[in-house]
Amino acid sequence: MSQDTERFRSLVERLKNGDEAAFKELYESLSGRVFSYIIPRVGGRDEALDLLQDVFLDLWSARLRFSYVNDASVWGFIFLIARRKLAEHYGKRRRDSEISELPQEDRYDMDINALGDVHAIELGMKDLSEKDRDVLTLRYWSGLSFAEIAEANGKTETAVRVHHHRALAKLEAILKNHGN
Amino acid sequence: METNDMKKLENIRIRPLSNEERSRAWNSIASRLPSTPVLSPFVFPIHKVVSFAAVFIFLIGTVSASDSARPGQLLFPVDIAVERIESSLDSSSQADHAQERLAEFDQTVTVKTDDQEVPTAARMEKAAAPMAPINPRPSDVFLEGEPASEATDMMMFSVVRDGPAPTPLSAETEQTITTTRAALEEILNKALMSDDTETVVEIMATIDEFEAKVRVMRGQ
Repeated sequence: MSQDTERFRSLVERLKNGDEAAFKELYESLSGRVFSYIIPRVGGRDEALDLLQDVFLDLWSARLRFSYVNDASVWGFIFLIARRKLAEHYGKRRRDSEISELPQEDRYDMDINALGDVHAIELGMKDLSEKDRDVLTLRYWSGLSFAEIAEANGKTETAVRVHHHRALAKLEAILKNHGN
Repeated sequence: METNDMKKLENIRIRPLSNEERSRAWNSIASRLPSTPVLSPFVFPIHKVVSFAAVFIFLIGTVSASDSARPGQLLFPVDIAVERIESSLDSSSQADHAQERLAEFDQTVTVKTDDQEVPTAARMEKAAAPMAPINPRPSDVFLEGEPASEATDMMMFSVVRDGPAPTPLSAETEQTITTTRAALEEILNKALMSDDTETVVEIMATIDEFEAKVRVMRGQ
């Protein structure tokens, strides 16, 4: 992310001036990771794509409230919006009682035989706290490095590593419990 | 975590956002972006100017019309709101507002009593002799430096009730009395917060006048 520093700074400045071309460029840079963050938390790709649009529309609406400090602030801001959108989405789904298990093939690019394992891990993840789930999702589903997660969450890399280690230990205990 | 589970986690591969999905989502975002048209400084969108002018004229009209509104009428709250703004700018106008409340009250009850009850003037005449005094005068209490407390409020409206039996008034008139009394109390409370003694005295006199009229209406 750091190599983008000057580019991000200039894009954010242009975004604040209502420059749609800059907004599109930011979208091109950020959308893949934001999508990867959203997809394991929702039912399917269409749902994830809808949320992705909402996240970027919110970014556009909130652009004047955002100040570029460093790249981390850009990632932190976009993931903050994504978290809020997911929270709203969960609330809505709970209210509408339309939670359904959708096919995992929709989300993963993996061998069909490995999907059973992923499903077990997903079930275990549901028993973790929001923060623990967040650090593991960013690491394994969104594919962010520890440094990037630290930037996105406004923490130090060491703190993220420690948190990640603890979250893994909790997940392990949950999976063992489920196995029994 | 066990090596096996760790490996499973490491092997998780999300099917990434495809180019087709990315551009489809972007098209949808772009179509939903609130438009921010940049207007030429030489071109005024005439329909907007007309709309704004219409709304402005309507508001001015509403505010002007509300000045003569009486308790119970649709524009009365607008009248009160405008006066609150005026009062916040100038405490001396509060005494005028109290007078205005009283005048509005007079007009309202006169209109109502013409239809339903004995006219106020006739009551005045009938009740002139047994009119009960207010004791003590609330303005005296205040000027001696007592804090604006419930005690002051209670005394302000306390009446020695030893005259003839009260005449029941219509629910509508009772409502007008309550509304006017609340409006006057509010004006007085505001005046008490400003240190404008002269205004406070004037408002209290208006309140005395109002309460006297109410007593007359009740036949006390």
